Amino acid sequence: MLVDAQELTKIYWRGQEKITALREVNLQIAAGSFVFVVGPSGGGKSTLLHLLGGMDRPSSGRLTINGLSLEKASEDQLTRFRRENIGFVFQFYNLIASLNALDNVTLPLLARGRRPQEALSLAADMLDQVGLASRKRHKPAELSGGEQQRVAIARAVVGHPGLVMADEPTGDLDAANADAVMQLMLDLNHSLGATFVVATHNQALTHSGDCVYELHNGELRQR
Amino acid sequence: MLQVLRFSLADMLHDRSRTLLSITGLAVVVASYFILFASGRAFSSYLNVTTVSRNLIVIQNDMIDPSVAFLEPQVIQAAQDLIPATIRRVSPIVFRHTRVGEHLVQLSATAVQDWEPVYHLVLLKGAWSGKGREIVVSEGIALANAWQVGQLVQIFGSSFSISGIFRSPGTAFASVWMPIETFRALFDTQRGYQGLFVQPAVGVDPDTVRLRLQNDPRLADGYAVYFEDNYTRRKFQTLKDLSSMMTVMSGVALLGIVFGIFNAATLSTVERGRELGILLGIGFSHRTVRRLMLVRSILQGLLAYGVGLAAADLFFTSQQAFAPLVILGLPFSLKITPDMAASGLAWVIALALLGAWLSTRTLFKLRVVALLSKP
Repeated sequence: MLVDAQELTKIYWRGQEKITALREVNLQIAAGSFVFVVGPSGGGKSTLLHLLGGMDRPSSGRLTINGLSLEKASEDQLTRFRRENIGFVFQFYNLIASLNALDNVTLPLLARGRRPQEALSLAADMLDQVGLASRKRHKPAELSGGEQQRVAIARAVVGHPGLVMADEPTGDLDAANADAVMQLMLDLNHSLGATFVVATHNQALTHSGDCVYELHNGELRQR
Repeated sequence: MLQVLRFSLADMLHDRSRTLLSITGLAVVVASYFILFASGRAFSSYLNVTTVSRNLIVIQNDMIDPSVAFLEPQVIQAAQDLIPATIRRVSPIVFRHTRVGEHLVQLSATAVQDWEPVYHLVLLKGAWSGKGREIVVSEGIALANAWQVGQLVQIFGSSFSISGIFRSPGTAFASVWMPIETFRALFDTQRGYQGLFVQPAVGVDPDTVRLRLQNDPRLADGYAVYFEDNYTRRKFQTLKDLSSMMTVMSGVALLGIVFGIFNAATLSTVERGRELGILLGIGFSHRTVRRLMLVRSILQGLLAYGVGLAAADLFFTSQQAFAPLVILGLPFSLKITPDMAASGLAWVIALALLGAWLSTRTLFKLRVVALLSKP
């Protein structure tokens, strides 16, 4: 298994109020699969993806990804883990506003120590694959929502990570763009062999995944 | 490193108006620092001018304004009685304050032959006055009024020709000097002399001379005998006070530069919390992200430093060209010296680094997910 989560719990404190975002979640994901996590907003989807992506730590439970126990990992280990294993697609893209599409896509490659020219070449190829070859010199503000999300996907997969997380990747897009983005991720899943975990509240998009999990009030169950 | 530099520049250019505002704000602080620092240094350098004079000055006790003092003939006689064994030369002098051009200056009248040996006036241009209505003027007042040798000026309603321009290292006040004979022929002489310069004989300890004169019953308690250097320092008290004020102002400017640059560096880093989160989320190490912030902060600081330095230099140059700064008749040359520029640069770099380093340190305590949730 690529991902193995055992009794994963995440608790937040909002002032005096205790919020249990995840309750003893058990989850196994096989390498190369395409997994959907569905559920209402506030159900814990983003929290689960942040934990899987090494951007946050569980309050309790065990989480092993690609052989690394994330709950025990140091900050440096988590950084290296993200760099070598994870691609992340955010609902609101999270592109660097001052950099053009090409530079944004080069970032994971530069983080991995690739030389700038090589990184630029690979990033240009990836933008070509997501249909943005003609828009690579444009800055995020000059791109549509759908285009920005495709840049974000290109950035997430350009380093060929084993696990790609997408948190409501279509949440800010119209129906046509949402379908196009979802199809793009499925294509990349097939062509790159990367494992995709996609969180969405749009059940209509989940028909083509390998597996669908539902997350309500922090409790996960397989559909 | 080139990529870091390129991304930092791209970030600064992306938000041009914000960057411009930050740099302008910092440049004002940097320019103020240089202007205040240079002013303070100019004052100090003038006050540090030392004379090698062994002269003594005899003047009425507790006389703040020497031009209203009066020297009784018996005092002159007391000094003359010590010639030649103890005293080489005595030179009574007349002091007056008068307005020449736009400046209040001190008019001194004494024997021309005493000007160089007793008063250490050094002729820079022209010649010492020797004839009727001729005067010599100090270089400060010549500069302040753009006077040249041969020019005519009005003093107490009479026209005088400038025969020479001099420098006076000891009595550095702006002054106009004329022969005592000229003064007597033209002006009020009822008030007599105001002071007496005494040149001790070679090989005689000036302090011994001072004590002998001070203890002479003819001086009684009415007169004080000072070393010329000490007396000059007393007269410079106003300048010293100004200098102290400028030192305080330099300190304030330094505080300004410290907080200005530190705050700018801190703010511009804190504002980028979300971007830091994105970069960390992508897999950049803390060290790389911090380096990016440090480079950006230094770039901003250096640009502000360059603009501030240029603005201060332009200010000094234009001031020198159009309105030379003259205080008490002394020309003040404000300039940025290499050590001043280097210390300013060091402050800017150090503070930019410190501000960015401390703020990234604070941000790095947050989880990536917390950084990503920043606006």
